[in-house]
Amino acid sequence: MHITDFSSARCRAALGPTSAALRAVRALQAVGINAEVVALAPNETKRGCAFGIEFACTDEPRVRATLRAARVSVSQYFKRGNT
Amino acid sequence: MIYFDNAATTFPKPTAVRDAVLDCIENWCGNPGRGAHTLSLKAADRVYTCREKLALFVGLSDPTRIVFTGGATAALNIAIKGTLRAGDHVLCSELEHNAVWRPLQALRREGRITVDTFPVVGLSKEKILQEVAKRVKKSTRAIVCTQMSNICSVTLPIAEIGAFCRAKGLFFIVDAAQSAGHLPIDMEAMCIDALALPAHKGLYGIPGCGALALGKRLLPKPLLEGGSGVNSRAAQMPDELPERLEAGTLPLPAIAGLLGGLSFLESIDPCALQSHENGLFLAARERIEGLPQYEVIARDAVGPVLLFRHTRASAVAVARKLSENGIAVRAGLHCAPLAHQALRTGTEGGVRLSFSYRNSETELDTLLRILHEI
Repeated sequence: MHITDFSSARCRAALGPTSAALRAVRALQAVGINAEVVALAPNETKRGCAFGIEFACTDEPRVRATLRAARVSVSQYFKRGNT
Repeated sequence: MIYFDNAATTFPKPTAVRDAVLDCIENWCGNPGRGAHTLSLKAADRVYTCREKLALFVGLSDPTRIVFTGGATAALNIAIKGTLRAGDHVLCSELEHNAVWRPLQALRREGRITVDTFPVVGLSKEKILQEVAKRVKKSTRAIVCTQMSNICSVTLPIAEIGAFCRAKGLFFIVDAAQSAGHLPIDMEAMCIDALALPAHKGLYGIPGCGALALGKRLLPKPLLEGGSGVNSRAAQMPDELPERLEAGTLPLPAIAGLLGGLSFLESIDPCALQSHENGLFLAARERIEGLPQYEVIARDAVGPVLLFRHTRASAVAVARKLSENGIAVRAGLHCAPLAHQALRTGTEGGVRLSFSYRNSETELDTLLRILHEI
């Protein structure tokens, strides 16, 4: 994979419990953004075990706007593999 | 068997419920929120779908404020004990089930709260509100009441009491154990802060789960601590709902049953269901009152539950005779001695008939034939 190939790069949003992650997935699905629930490694978040969502990095601005509008609280955004 | 004990638990369950439970056991009974493998995520997705359906059902916009519990009793205990503080005064109605009455009395015995009841039986909405208003003190923090009695079909003016609570800054905790599936519930419109529901009664699920639906103003403290699948380094439960109040593994087959029950309710016309149950009530009332040895209690409150008594035989004896003839009813005090006292049924209580969509007037014919013989 080319380092600048953002079309296939995957980004993550750390959310906490699975219900928050599923709420985010549903909100994104409603505006046509694909995202999936992922378990975050304990070292990926400040609080230990948590769930998040993963999506195409190209969607990140829309993801941020959609989750903000849906009042889904995101503790951090990061690119997969970069914490 | 003729089953008129649907207020205890509905029976038989719709096939949609059986299918949903089997589907869970066979296809998605992983542990939600405890891993990211396919089965765990599938389980989490189905549980969240159930939260969504239930939130819609009770008029709550945020599905994460649906907390799954062991039942309505557990939900009421969380709402009551997780909300009230030392020195609080609480009001409840005279029709409360022990699921409300006992947690309140436990706190009262510990010297933490004071409790007053307000009358309901035979009163208009306006009069009930007046009775509530005149009992409110400076220290009153919450009103806890049922939407519909579990021993008769008397209902409380929930929307009006909710609006009163909101205006006075009180929390409003509602026991919907008997009303869910029978009466409309809109938490936001009715200003309900906490609503307790069982899965296995009017929502047609199976025993083993219930829910506490929480409005935006209320965040009870947990009564149970344990694993939540998240925030593991912290020594306390997470702040986020629903996980904050869901320590331990969820009862997935029962949640699946609830999902099936909600799907079943979506497939039928709620007005037709209510009309069917009311029709059975009216037919049963007319025919029981046609027998001189019986009296129908709270006869004017038409709904899915009818309470009656024999003028000479005990309620238990009547129920035993019916059982011997293949008819299931419930006799006695129905875990609601306060309500029986309010309805003046005496020490014996009464005989309760409770209907579901499956009951018919033909079944009433059999019931009346046996009652006539007693």
